[in-house]
Amino acid sequence: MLAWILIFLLACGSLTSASNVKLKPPDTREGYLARLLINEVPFPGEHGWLSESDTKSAMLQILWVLDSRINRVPAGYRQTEVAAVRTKDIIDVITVGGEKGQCDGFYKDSNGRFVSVPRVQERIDYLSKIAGDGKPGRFARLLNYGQDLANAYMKGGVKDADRFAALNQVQDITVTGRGYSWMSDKDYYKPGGDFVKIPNEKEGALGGNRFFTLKERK
Amino acid sequence: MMMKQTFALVLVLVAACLVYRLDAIAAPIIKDDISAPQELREQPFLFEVLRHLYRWYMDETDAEKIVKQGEVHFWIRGLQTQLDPGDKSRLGEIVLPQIGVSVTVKKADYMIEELNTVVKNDTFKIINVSRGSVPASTDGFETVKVDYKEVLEYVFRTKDQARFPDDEMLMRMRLAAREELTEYLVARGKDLPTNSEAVHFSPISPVANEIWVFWEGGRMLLRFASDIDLENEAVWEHDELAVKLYNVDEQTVVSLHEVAGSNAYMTRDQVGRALFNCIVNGRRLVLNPEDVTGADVTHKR
Repeated sequence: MLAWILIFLLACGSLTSASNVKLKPPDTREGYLARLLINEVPFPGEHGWLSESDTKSAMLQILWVLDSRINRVPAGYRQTEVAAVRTKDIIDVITVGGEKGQCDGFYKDSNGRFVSVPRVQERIDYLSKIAGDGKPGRFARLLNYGQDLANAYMKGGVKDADRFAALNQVQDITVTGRGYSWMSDKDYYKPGGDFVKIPNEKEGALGGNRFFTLKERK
Repeated sequence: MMMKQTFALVLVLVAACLVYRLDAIAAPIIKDDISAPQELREQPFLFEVLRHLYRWYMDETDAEKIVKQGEVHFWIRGLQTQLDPGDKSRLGEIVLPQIGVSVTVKKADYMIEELNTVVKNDTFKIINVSRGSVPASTDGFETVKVDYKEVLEYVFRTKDQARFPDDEMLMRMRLAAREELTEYLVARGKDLPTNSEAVHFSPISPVANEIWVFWEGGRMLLRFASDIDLENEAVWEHDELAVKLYNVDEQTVVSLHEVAGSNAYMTRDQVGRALFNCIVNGRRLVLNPEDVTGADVTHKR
C-alpha cells in the first residue's frame, strides 16, 4: 500500500515539476475536446482577455453548449436545428459542417478522423511552450483546466454547474435556458435562427465570447 | 490503519480539487460601478469612440435618429470586475441610447509573468460593441450630451489625421501574416505568391487595438487584434496571438441565420465595412514578397 501511495505522490509531483502542461494527444477524444475548449478562449495578452476565472468560465460554458446540443435539446426543437446533426457523440457535434462548420477549424478529414486546421495545434504548442517555462502559472492552469474538463466529460459528463441552466427570460423573450451557441466578435450582429443573446447582466459575455440561448417554443 | 490513511489522503485531495473548482467558476463577471473614469467623459475620447462606431458599425438609420435630436447622448459608467491578483486594468461602458449600442472599453494594466511582459495601455480601448442590450434607465450612469454638429466638425476636421502602421510595425505584421497565410495556402495545395501583391490597411484607431488588412489578390481579410497595444513590439514577439484570416468568398453570409450556431462566418455587412475601411478609408501598399526588409509603398492620398 505504501508503494502505491508513493507512486501516487510521485505522479502528482510530476504534474507540477517535470511538465507544467498535461495535454492528451490531439487524436484522442479527450485531447481533441480540450483543444477546442482552449482554442475558443483568450489567454493573457490576447484580445478578449479579462481574467483566469473568466477564461475558465468560458471553457466550461462552451462544454455545456456542446453537451446541451446532445442531451438537452429543448422541447419543440429537433437536434438538427440546434446542432446541425443528429448524434449522441460530442465529436460529431464539434466537427459537423466541415472545416468551416459549427466549430471553425475543427472537422473530420476524408478518412473520418477528427482533425483541426494547423493554426489550432500551433497555438496550442505556443501556449504550452509559454506554460512550460518555469514555475506553473496562468497559462499552465488554463491549459490543464481545459484538459481536465475534457477528461471529466469523457468519463461521465460536465462536473460544474451550467450558469445559464435556470435562465428563463431575456428582456421580453421567454427562453429555454442553457446556452446553445457561442460566438466571438459578432456581438453587434443577430445570431440567426431562434438564438437569443444572453445579455451582460446574465453573464452572457465570457472569455471574449457571447453566449446564446433559445426562444422557448410551445 | 493504512487503509484509513489512504482514504483520508484521498478525501483531502478530493476536497482540494473541489475548492479549486469552485474558486475557478465562482467569479461574477462584471458588476456595475457608478464612478465613471474622467478619461471616459472627455470629449476627444468620446468623439474618437463615435468615429470608430461611425466607421465600423453605424448605418443611415442610426445617423437619422441622432440628427433628428441634434445631440449625441452618451451614458458612461465604470465597470468593476474580479480581475486576477495584481491586475490593475480598468473597464468602462459607454452607451449610446439613441441607437441602442453599448461599448465596453478597457485600459489594460497587468503583467504576463510567463512572458515577463507588461500589458499597459495609455488609453481606454474598445473591447466590445454590442447592439440591443441598452439599460432601461440612466441609473448608475453619468450622462454627457454633445451637439451633433460639433461631433461632425471634429470628425471632418481630423479625418486626414488617420495613422497607419510605420515601417517597423508593417514588417512585423507582414511576417506574422506571411506565416499564417503560408499555412492556410499550403493546407489548400497552394503557395504564397511570388509576385508583388497589393494590400489595403485600415487606419489605426486610437481607441481600438484592431487593424484589418485586405489582400486584394488573395481575396482575404486579415484581422490583427490584441489586448496589448498593436504598436507595442511585445505583441509581435508573440504574434501567434494576434492574427485571424477570413476568406471573403468562403466565409461571408448575408445573415448568420444561414449558418445558425456556426462561429466561422462574417456577415456581408461586416465584410463590407471592413472592405470600406481598408480600401476607401485605408492605405494601399504594394508589397514585394521577396523584400522582407522593406515595402514598396504607394500612398493613395
